[in-house]
Amino acid sequence: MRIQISVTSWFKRFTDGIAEMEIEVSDGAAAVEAVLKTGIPLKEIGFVTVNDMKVDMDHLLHEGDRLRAYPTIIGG
Amino acid sequence: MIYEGYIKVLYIDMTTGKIKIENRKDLCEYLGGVGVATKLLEETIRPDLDPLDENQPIVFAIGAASSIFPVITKTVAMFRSPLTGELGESYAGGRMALTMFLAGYDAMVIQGKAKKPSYLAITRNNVGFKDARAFWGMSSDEVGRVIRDREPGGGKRSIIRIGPAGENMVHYASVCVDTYRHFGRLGLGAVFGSKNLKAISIVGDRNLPIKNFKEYFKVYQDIYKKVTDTEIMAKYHDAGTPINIEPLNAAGGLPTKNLKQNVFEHGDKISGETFANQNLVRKMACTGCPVGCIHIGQFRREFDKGHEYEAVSVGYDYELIFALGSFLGIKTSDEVLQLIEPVEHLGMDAMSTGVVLGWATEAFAKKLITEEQTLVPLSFGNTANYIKAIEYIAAKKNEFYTALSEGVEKASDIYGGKDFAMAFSKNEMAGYHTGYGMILGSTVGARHSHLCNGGYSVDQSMKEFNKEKLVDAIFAEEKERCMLNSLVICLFARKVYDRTTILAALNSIGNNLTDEDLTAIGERIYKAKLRIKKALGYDQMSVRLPKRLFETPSYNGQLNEDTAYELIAMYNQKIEEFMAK
Ligand code: SF4
Repeated sequence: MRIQISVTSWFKRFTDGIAEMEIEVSDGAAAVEAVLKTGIPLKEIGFVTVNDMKVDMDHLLHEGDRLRAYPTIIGG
Repeated sequence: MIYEGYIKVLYIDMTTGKIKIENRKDLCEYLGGVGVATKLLEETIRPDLDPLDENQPIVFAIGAASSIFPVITKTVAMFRSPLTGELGESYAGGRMALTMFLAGYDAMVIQGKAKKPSYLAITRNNVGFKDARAFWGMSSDEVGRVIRDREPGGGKRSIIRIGPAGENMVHYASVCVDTYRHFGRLGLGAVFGSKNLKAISIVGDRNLPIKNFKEYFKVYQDIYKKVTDTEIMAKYHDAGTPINIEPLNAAGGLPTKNLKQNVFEHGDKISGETFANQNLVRKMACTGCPVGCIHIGQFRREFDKGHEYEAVSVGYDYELIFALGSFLGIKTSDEVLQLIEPVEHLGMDAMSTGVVLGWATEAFAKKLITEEQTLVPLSFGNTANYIKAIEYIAAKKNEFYTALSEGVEKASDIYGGKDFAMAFSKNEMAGYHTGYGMILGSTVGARHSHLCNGGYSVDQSMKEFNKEKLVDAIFAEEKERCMLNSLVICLFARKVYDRTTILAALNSIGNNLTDEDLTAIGERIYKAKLRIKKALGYDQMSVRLPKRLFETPSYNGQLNEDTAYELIAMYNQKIEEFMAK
């Protein structure tokens, strides 16, 4: 199945400058599988949203879902 | 401190104009930085006197490896906070640590009050007490420029100073360090004001050859590589901490409009990316830091009719954008910078200022206060009126603004609205509504800052909420940061400076500490802080939390008030056991 992925500006360094992409994942794949396909190291991911809802990495995806990856929060 | 086997303390008495230098071997067991400063504070603080009494001390200290390894750039200041009435602890970068190091002082204790406005000119061989009457009333920017012209010293000079808010003893007045860094939190600026101390210039010219240069340089290079060649620090230089706006807003952790909301509908207009695209003109660094996380933004200001504009530059980071942006419903990056500018020049802590104004805005809407008191109608998003209100706070324009100048806790004591007065143990909240970690961490943290133990970070990394694990994590981090801050590392680099790296650095300059020693130092410092808090009358169990924290959902969903108090009680139990050991 195909899902839409968008990433924040910081992550473009891992995705050849691409902010939005459509990727193919296996049916019933979890969010983590989709994120791995973007090339973004998992430790860089703070959390993801699917269709604008914050979800865990083991959240199961459906055809046409919109996943967005956000960086970890930084600070002292 | 390095190689000398003692801590060199410079005591300055502003009342008599006398100085004294002591070489204290006994302080070495506190390593440096916050350890030494805590001990010196414990020796000199006066629990019986008001925080702004002239007999209260200001303590500054640098660390056991200050300035000679990358990103070990900070100086710690300790004092009795006029905002909370208890432990005051604040950190600043810039050039101060380097100049103290090169002037040969590991710590400074300033007591007393000058008869007239003064500034101190500190060099390796002298402390000058100088007349600052002509500077009284100047902005922190202006006075920095004037002293720069008067005092020799060039690049190895640091000038720390207060603005009018410090002179007027606003309880959250800040101290500006070398223009773009600050002792921001808890009101050190007011303590300067209470001593008639406008500024301190420090010039260092000492040369300290490294003994085992080969070993030192190897460790230095390893750390430098880690800082510059890995992704650990890259974000701080890239868009900087404002990168946080986007994830916090998406996850519902961005305090907005006095935390009536956890998501800001105009978040994208004040995001790190927006600032980078529209305002960023320069990046700078503290001396000795290859990262350069200081972001300078510019906005255009009309200074006369007929299209006469000037470009105004101010530093910005995440906390400022939260406090003077989302928290006040400010919709554009330009307007956030317009609010930062007066806060900066008047010399106030941006976080406290924003949070106090957020409360005032809601109190005004709820008719707890009137326009007769606020002088201008306050509403979320109204930048022009907020600029006026900021000026009124600094000037303590009337009774109402005098109350605001003492913090949100004091203002809500007088006018009501406690449920939405967003402070932890009297210190205004930081920009993370992330969950129980943030609430617990800020409440029990020694100085009630998100930086005491990084509770917001625990909220982010904890997969499943577990009370015991959370309490343990906050307790462990609080102790660990006591040790880290005895060095005094910029906490942005705390992932670079793991225990192995710290020991390698210290060992390479002849300080042969072990892992166990570091643990013991952290514990020793934390105990000393807790002793001071107790002497100042702080009672953890009497703290009340604003109900708003439990009304507005967080990054980790809806929070429960009873759970928060239970966590505080658990932590309290833990420190009682710790102190009894
Ligand atoms: S990371 Fe930023 S605040 Fe920390 S030392 Fe470097 S420039 Fe200063």
